[in-house]
Amino acid sequence: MKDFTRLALDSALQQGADWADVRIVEIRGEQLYTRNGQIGGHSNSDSMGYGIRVLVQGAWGFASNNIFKQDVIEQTAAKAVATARASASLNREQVRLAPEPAHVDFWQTPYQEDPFKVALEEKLELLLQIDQVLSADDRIKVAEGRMSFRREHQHYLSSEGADIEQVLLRSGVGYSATAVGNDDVQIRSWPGTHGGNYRAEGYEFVRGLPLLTNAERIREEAIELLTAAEVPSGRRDIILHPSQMVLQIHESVGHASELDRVLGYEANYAGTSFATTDKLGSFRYGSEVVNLVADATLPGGLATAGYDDDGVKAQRWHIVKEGILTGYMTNRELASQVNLERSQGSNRAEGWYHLPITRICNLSLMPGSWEWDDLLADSEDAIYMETNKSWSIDQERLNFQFGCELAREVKGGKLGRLLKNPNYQSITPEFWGSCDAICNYKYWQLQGVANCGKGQPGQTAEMTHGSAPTRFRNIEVGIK
Amino acid sequence: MSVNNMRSRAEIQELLEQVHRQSPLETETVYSSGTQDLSRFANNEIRQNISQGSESLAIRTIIDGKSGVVSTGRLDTESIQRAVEQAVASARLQKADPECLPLQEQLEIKEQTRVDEETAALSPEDKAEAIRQVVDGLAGQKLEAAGIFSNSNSQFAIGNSNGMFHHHAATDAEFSITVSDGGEVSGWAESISRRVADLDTNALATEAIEIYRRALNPEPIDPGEYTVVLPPAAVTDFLLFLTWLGFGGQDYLEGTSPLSGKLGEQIAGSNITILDDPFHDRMSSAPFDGEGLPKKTLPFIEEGVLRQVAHDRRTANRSGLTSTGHGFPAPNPNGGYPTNLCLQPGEATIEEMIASTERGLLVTHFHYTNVVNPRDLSLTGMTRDGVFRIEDGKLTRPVHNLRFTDSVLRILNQVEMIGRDTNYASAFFGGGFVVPALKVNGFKFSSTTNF
Repeated sequence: MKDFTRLALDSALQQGADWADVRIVEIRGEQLYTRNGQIGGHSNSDSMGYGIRVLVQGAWGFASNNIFKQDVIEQTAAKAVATARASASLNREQVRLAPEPAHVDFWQTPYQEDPFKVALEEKLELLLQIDQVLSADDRIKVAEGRMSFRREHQHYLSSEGADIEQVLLRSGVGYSATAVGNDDVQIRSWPGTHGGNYRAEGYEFVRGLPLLTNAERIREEAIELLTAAEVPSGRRDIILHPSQMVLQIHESVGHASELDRVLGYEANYAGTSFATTDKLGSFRYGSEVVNLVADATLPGGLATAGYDDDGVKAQRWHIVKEGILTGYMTNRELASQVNLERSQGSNRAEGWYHLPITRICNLSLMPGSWEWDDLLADSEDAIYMETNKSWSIDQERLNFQFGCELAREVKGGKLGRLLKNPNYQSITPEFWGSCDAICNYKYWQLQGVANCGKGQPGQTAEMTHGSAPTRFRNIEVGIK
Repeated sequence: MSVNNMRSRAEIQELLEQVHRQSPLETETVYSSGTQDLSRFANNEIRQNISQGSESLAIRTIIDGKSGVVSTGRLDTESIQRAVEQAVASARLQKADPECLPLQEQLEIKEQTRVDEETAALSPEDKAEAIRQVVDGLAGQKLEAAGIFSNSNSQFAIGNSNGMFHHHAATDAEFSITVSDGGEVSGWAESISRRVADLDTNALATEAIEIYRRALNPEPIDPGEYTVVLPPAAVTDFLLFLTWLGFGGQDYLEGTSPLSGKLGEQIAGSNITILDDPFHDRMSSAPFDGEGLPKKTLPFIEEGVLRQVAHDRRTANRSGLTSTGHGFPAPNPNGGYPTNLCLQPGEATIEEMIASTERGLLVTHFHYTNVVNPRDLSLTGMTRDGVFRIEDGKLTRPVHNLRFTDSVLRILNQVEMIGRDTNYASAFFGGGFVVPALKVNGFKFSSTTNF
């Protein structure tokens, strides 16, 4: 692997690059899927390729390929240089990268049990056992189970002398039950939505989850939702479980704090951000209890690594501190735009095929001080919501509307009847400004996002959001 | 083979036959490769400029109703042998699937390349020159342009150890542009086609500038029901969710589609006809599906009546039908669905729609449209890049952006006028559809913004 990285880097420099870096990435994946008592699919994937990024006259070029022949590597490097020259023909300002030491290091995700060495039969057996519990009632028309595992072996080399090897591992598991009846369709998922939950760990993550224990409850909730009352329309206090907070944090803070968006580099597709640089250090993003921390060192976080794809060492920093906007997700190119001497290290690419772009790091709402029972007791008339089902937010990251799989009435300080089709809508700073209670560290949990899409051409990234049950006051719910 | 990974059809066929010779089991192999070149500009400069190439195989082996799949991007002989061995081992470890079907036989399907040589040959310099002309057109206006200009070449082939082989090659191109003064007001335009010659980049830039200028100084507006005029770019997301959540045969059979049990019933206004047309001139689709079956032009909704849902081999077999040619390569847990929907045009121009509207809104397009409730196909999304009041048949003032929350099925029953011209427009979450403009009555906006 390392010989090819060196060949690609040398080739880019020989062909005229003023600066270059090369990432060779080898990706192994395994996906298992069960559906209604059958194995819906089992696949292994294996991919290895290289991405060559160059600066010529201060302008970017990038080319990638997965053919490891000397002539193809050289031609790919030439393409990277040619695209950079084309960029330079138009650009007025030269890219200047924030300084970073040329790290030489090896880093790997800590894990206990290699998921690729766990017998396929054992993994399938667990999913089929869960399926059996989910399918035990005729009203469940679709029972689905999933596992996925991914190992990414990277070698990064830069013309500045960085030489970084990393092995990143993650495991994911989840299931859902879809009930049909009473002229309705309802779904429940566990331990998270969008395929389950994911963690930068080995198979111990799967073993550590009470997957079978929760399957019966999930089945019964899906069935009960068929005849549940709709969430009423109007303004209510809401309490959000971490399985919904994950998307709330992701969409209304994570993407809004990506500095490339803030500066207009995503204006044509994903949009820009209301959290402009003139607001840094002074804008009230939320109430004083709101602390949002980006952390590339978070144990188990999907964005946790030793270094990002700029070769910048992992860091931990506040995005929102005591309710005030205090930071951004940055890369080396843009860090100086907010007077940072060094990038925060949030530049990442999907595999070898794509160009690194500014991504959300692991981003968590820090725990508060509330016990769960005290939070309920303090809530006279509220709606509790769990598990994201629907999400949409405008191009400035202000007006959002989310839906959840399940809600419960909170009356007189107690959890009450089940409600279906819950949703809520608000404006980002107003919403976070209405946050008045966050449960403590005992209720804090990590939810992984494995499908964050961004960029043109689109690419996905993975990150984790930690949170505890959180209350927001006087929010519009039941939008029809 | 060139640096662009463009093996010839014969080379690909030989590669797949090599896989099948190496496998002791019944085997199906899908080949895909391509290059994607994309110049991305923002703040009047090219900030990302890429050229990506890749090729891969997905190998599926079958034994006694059990199948194993391995995909690999390593196409040397040794790696292919290892992938075949993994797929064989994986198949043997599975449990038998009672719905597992034998390998597809070769059917006569006329291959039709969708390669446009000019598109295939478009260079980074060509794209930079086009972007330069657009940026030069903004000179002195204190405006900023952001957008993309892309071209791609792709090849897709499917074959199996029964001797089936089909191959398809295509090109695609896209130009889109957002113009603003760096503030919250912007204008936007886009064009996609398999031929770059269809993209008039300067005209698109002019259109985006005109929308931006019209959108300046927007006024507050209350949410509520409005008559709306929706250009094609604002219609395409409706078809995306109709196909994802409504037209799939598996969902239809399992009762999870909002259309389940409604074949032959009136589900939309009698002025609505939606075809799936994989042969549409602007699209680059293959004439065969991911299971090697021929695609056809099929009416899904005809004069408002649901006529068709999409079946792959598995759901067709389950329901005693034949596949409609909407399969994806196995394993595919989601069943078949159509990807080439075309909403049939009417007779009106957008100007006539506006002139016939006493009080309403003209929307440029929507952002981040997503499903709210799959049961009634209700969606939510935000207006973007300009919303304008229509008063007494004339376009008047720009207004703040609004969020809609409404059902696609309800919308398709509220269409008063349909545009005579169609456009191939992209959906936010991917894909594209050929759609006309629509005038829709009683369209529901549920909240608003202050920009």
